[in-house]
Amino acid sequence: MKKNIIINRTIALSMLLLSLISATVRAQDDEKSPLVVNLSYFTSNNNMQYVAVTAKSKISGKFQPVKGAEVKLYLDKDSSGKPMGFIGKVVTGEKGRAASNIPPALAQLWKSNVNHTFVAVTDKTKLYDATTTELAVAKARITIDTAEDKNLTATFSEYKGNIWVPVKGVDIKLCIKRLGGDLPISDKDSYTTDSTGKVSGEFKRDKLPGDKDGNLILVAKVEDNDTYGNLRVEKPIQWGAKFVAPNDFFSKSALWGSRFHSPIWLVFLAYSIVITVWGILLYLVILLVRIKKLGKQEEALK
Amino acid sequence: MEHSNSLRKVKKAQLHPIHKEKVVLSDEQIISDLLPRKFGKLGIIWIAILLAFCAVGMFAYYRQLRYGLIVTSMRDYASWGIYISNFVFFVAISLVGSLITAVLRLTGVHWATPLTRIAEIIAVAAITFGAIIIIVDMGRPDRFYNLFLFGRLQSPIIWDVTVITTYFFISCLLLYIPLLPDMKILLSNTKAGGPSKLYKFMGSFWKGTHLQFRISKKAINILCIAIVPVAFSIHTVTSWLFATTYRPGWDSTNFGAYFIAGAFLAGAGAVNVAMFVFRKYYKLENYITQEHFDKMGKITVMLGMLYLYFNVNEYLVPYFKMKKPEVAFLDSLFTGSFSILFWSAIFGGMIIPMIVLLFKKGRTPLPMFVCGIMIVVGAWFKRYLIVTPTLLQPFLPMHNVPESYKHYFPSWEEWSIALASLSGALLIITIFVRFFPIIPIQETIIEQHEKEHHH
Repeated sequence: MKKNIIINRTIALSMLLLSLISATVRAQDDEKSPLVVNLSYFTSNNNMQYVAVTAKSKISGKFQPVKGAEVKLYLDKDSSGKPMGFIGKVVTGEKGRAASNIPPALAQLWKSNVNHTFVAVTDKTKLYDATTTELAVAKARITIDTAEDKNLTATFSEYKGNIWVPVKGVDIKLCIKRLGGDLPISDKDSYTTDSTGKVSGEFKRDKLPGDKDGNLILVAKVEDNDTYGNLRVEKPIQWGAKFVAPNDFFSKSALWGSRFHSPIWLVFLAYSIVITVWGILLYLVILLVRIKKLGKQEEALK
Repeated sequence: MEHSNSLRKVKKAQLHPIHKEKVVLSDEQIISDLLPRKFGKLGIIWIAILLAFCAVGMFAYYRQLRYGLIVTSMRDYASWGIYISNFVFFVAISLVGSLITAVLRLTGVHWATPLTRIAEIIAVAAITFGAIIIIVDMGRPDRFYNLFLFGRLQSPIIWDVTVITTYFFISCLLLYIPLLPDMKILLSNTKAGGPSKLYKFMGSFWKGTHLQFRISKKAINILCIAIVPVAFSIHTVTSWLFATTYRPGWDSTNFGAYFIAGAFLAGAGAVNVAMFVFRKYYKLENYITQEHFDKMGKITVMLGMLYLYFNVNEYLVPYFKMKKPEVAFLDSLFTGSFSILFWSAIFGGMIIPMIVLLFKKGRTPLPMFVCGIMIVVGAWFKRYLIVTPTLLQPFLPMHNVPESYKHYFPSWEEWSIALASLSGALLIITIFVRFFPIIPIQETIIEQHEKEHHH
């Protein structure tokens, strides 16, 4: 009897515990997860700047991209901390990402300062509270120099008081642009700038096919730098192997050949069948003509 | 002796095959029963409905020409939708001409004589709209001539164009040559003007001489032999449009035979439906008898079993292996978004009609009609299931594409055009029946004389 009571109490206690746990989990699920907005700054070939935004939130216990989040982007703040130059309003896509160029209308504001702050603002929605995210960046550039002996030198400089000053200790990647991504020029993954802001690397991919003149595109890039953001510079160079298109590929007598290069056996087979069948049909038409002639003869006899 | 003499006005006796009772039919009776008739009220309503479908389809096609293929639901992945499945369906149905007319004639089966013209007109109507629907599927039909200018002999599309043209021509001849003896009967039984001008143009030269009969018999025999390989080619080549492409569900060596088996079943189903409708509407009980339904029922069961056998091979073997790239495709058919359609087509279009037709009572007119409808509708959806699910399950995952690329449900324009093409094919058959006898008159008279002589 006593044993039964203990068992019953244990079961009741377990059920109570389970219901408490599930209620806690539900409550956690019901809680509004904050919207996390990240800003990134990009500059391409030292002349095109744009800002990208990613929105994510904790859904079902893990961070997932938020689609359709409306984000207003600004360049710099005034003395009261209020955002100034309106870059534009973007809406995040399926991967929670959106980007916007800095419009020409903000060129004056862009040139007026050496350092800038990007501000991303989201309004309060049914799902998320309002957010404000900031990103401070300093203007910088990369230049590429190439030497005859297939050596590549990239220089990283920061814009300070109307002059470009070399920066030491910045990680730069030296690559070749390929279809699926960037291929490092040698086995070394990245290089760090010296006191003159330079890095040098030797191009060790001689047999890499380029275009028909052997042109490759050199890339020097800085990724996710806390001060300067993302910079990327490209330069075409004739260091690749010349790509010779296999001209005779489609002119071979094969199944993949062009129109007048069908395999002989196929031509023979196809035309034999077509000629035989249409020959029979022609014969049938002749038979029909004979029937017609016979009918006319019969009519003439009557 | 001229065969036209056989049209003598003497009462003849015919042994009814099923009821085993003598039905006495004179030649005049046969002629009057089988001559084409003007449409009644029902016929006019039927034509009006078909024309209405055609008109809506034409408007939809105008929109497609005006705005481009964007009015359809076809996108980068599902680039073949119901137009192509409709095309495959038409090609399949058209094969019945070779089955009923050629195969049965060559094997000395005489009971099918009243069904030959039904089968042939179905074949001609289907292949006509099969060819048209291919052009409809083209975004720029004005560039169709490029197919001939730049077409490669290595491409199955060129083979398909060639073989469809050939089959269309053979089917027309197989419809026209046996029609010649009836032209004389039609001319002598039609008042001047109207259709008689058509009959005169088409067959006034037929005098029914012994030599004319001999030549036409020879021509029909040659046609019957020629049409069998051409019919096999047309559907095999159509299957190769798919099977020569490396995609889940299409990459099969079984496809040619699988398509032909399915085509024969679909065609037999269509003949069963047409038999019932013509028999009922034109009161042809003495010509399309219970025996015809019974035998066509047995043929349908045999064809159903054959097609089921190929289906087992086509789906069960890949299902057993479950190769990684085919998993998504097979799952979509068996348990996924296409499963209801798939199992409906298998059971509704194949297994249930087969079970019904196994029983003698099932092989009577009404059940045969219902089963025929089930087979034809099942065959249409089966073609859709062959064409589209494969395209929606590519080897590489769909990345960075709009949501509409990932699914396919035909737009109203596609439905209208597809329905218009089906209505157009039915319209050809209906108009043919208005002007020509759907059961060969001369052949029926001769066969009756032969039977009587035999008895």
